Amino acid sequence: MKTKDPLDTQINSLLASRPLRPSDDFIARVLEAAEADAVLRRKRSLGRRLAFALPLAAAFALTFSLLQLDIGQGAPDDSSTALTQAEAQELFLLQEGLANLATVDTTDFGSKEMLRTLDALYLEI
Amino acid sequence: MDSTSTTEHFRLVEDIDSAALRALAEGDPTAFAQIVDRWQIRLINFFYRSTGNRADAEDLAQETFIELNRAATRYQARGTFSAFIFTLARRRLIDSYRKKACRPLEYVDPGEFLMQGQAEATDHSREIEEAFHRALARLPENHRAAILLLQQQGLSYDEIAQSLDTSVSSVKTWIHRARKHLREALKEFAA
Repeated sequence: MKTKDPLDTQINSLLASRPLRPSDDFIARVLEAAEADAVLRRKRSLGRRLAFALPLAAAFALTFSLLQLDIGQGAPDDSSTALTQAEAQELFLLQEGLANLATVDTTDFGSKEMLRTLDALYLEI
Repeated sequence: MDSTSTTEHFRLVEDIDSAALRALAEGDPTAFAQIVDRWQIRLINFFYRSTGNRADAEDLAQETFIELNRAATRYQARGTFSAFIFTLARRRLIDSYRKKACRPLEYVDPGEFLMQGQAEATDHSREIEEAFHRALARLPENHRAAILLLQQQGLSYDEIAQSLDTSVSSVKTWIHRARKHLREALKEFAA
């Protein structure tokens, strides 16, 4: 502001003045504080990421393990359903015995014949 | 240096600082030191006139520089660098007033002036300086900031309005009232 009033000139001069000189170590202090602040922000940023990442990882792990459990129950292992050779033979004999039981090749089918057939089946089983 | 060349000087410095801030955002570690070196006197004296205390002035200047360092990556040169840095500076100042919950400039240590290279000043000029400090202290914060940004920092009315987040007409009113108050307070020192 250009003015010829001496008081205004004096006020402008006082307002424009910069009486303070910074301390000798001011720049060094600012740089050090800025670096410390940057380190702190990096740590906080990592902390925030971990705060999100850890529960997320736990949720994934839980979901995965539950899925595995579900797959295990839904699709039984072949080995558990496979018949052993003895079981297959037993089934075959049972089927044959029942087939024989169903086949009536004599009209004289009395209680004796019936008992003989059941005996045979029992022995075979 | 007349007012035109002063303004040109500020413009040149601003361009350098906008470029330095971009360099800082891109990871140049020396850019920040350059900005601090160029702006330390301006910021410290702005805060000194606002708080009346060297330690507070340096602390606030330091906080402003740290805030600037943080803001480098999101800086967009929509306004001038001066307007940007004084926006940050004023926020720091208002925060400090809130923290202290008292009016600034309640205490001015006259001895501090002596330590600041003014030992040769006459009693009369010291008296004026102290009266000036007291008068500044009694100004509302926005009036004081407006007149300091205009007269001490060489900002334009537009830049002041941007820094103080108000209209140009409000800035002009505040500066007019501040000047009137200072004239009244210092009238006994009129030559």
